[in-house]
Amino acid sequence: MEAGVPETAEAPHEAAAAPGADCVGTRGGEVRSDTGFEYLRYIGEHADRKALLTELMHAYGKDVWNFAFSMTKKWDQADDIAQEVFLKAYRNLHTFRSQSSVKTWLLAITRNMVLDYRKQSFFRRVVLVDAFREDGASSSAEREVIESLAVNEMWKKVLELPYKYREVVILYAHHQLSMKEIAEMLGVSEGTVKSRLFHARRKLAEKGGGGGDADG
Amino acid sequence: MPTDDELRRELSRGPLKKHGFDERLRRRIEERLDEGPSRRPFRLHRLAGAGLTLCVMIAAAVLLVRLHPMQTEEARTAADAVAGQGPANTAAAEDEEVSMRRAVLLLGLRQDGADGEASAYRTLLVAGGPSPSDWLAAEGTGIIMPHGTDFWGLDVWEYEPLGVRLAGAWNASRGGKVLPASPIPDSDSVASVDERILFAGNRYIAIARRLNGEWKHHMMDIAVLADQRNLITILEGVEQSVPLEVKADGRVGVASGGGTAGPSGAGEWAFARKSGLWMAFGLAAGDPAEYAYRRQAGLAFDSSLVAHNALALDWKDIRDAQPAAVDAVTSPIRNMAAILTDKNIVFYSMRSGKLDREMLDLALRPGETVIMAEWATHPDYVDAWIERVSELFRKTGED
Repeated sequence: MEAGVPETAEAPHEAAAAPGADCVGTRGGEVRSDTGFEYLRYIGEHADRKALLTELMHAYGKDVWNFAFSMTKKWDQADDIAQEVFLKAYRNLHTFRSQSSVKTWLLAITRNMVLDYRKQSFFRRVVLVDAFREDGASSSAEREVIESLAVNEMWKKVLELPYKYREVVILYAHHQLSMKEIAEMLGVSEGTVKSRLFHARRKLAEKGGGGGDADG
Repeated sequence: MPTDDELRRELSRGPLKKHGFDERLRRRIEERLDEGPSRRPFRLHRLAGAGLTLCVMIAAAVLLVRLHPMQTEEARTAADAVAGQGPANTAAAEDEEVSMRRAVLLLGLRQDGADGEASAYRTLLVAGGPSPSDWLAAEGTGIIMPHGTDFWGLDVWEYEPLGVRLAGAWNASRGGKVLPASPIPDSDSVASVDERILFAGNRYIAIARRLNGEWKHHMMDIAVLADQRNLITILEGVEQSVPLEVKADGRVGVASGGGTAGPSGAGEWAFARKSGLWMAFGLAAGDPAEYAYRRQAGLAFDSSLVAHNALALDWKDIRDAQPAAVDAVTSPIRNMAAILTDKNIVFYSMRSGKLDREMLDLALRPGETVIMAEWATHPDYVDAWIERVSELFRKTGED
């Protein structure tokens, strides 16, 4: 345990992400101002869902992909996850009645998808015999992509953070979600979010010239 | 330590200089809108969490199949019912539905003979299923294509002794093979005409026509091929063909002005399969840069020409499975794939967007290439296709 702000206890269901995020979004988060999609709460089953999806992809495609990539660090997985997120959103558009914003709803679905992919990845590492070769090659490819395409040094350092710190930093600083929204999405307390942000900032400060932690 | 402001400023843009969510990805999502819900992200999780349970389930399934020969058919029927608009069932039932859902493929093939000889056509009807023995459902000569609510026949007829070969279409579901007699002008003035079928999809058939020794490609409406072909209009190059245009999304489709307005567009494009897609290659003069791009890279057919024109596999995965692969097709619901080499065509089941099991390996005749890949995935159509096409081939065999 590092000195300073202690790591607070986490909700027991944190690993499974916020309940309900699959289809209906997080509950209880503050309503944000993506007013262009407010009507999603009221659409019927006969709405032109394809047109709505096109609008959603236009407005939030980059957010969803960026979040997926930031958490997986794999271009192909980010592609796959973004596809699955919008397909899931498309199938559940008429169920969207959440108090959260559409963006938060989509990011919550994305997070669940990322967790599923991480579990798949864990399964492959543990169960499949050729896991080490595959993992080593993909890690190298990840580093190459990040090294050559990251927009700045701060992003490089953030992408090297352990998973749980990276997640809160990106939701907070890039997607600009409130502490409350992040807490709802992650299924943890606001105190835990603040604690993780603090530790994340400390690790970023320590990095200075580089050197990354293992993905946690 | 970085402050909040510093973090937000430095991270305000996306992580990478290049945007990952681009037009290509948007199109892939739109192409998949009609798929059923994907269980992909969850399957392995469940496997990891309940490996023992899975083993027990597999053993039980094997036992059931052995004890009950109708199990697969009954299970499929049940899964088809689930795949409709009914209320959500249990997660286990949904998993079963996804794994049991079938696709059926009508694959048209053409084999060109030596120069001057007629091409040969055949159609394979391949249905997915749990057992390899289910996969090749039917096979017959000529091309059978779905159009409207019926199946249509396509073939090329030779008019002796003129050396004229013309493509024709007929509604196979509603009658026998009756090709309209083509009017034959004075034999002394007839130039050699040779047609080959290059592509069939939706209501359009691309043909290659050799006239005066020169091959040109034409996109035809099925109604024109089913009508009396007028040899004079063909010889004069004024037979109606389908005008095409480059759409806003960069694909080639039927021009919005109409389908059979005249000879416009004839010979301006060449059509071929490339990298598992139906492509049009521009031949018309125009902007040199645009012309070069169209000619070299080709532009994919859009949905006005063919309902499904996407490949759900990477070529690396395809070549890992079949190093000599030259073409491939995958089902719209990504549960079935066919990989062609020069010598054979290998069918696979797919799982989680990847090749899963090799199910069927058929020999190809020398030089055989794909000219049609039409899919049915809706449960209402899968069994109907198998039944109706098998019946058509059976009748053809009796003729």
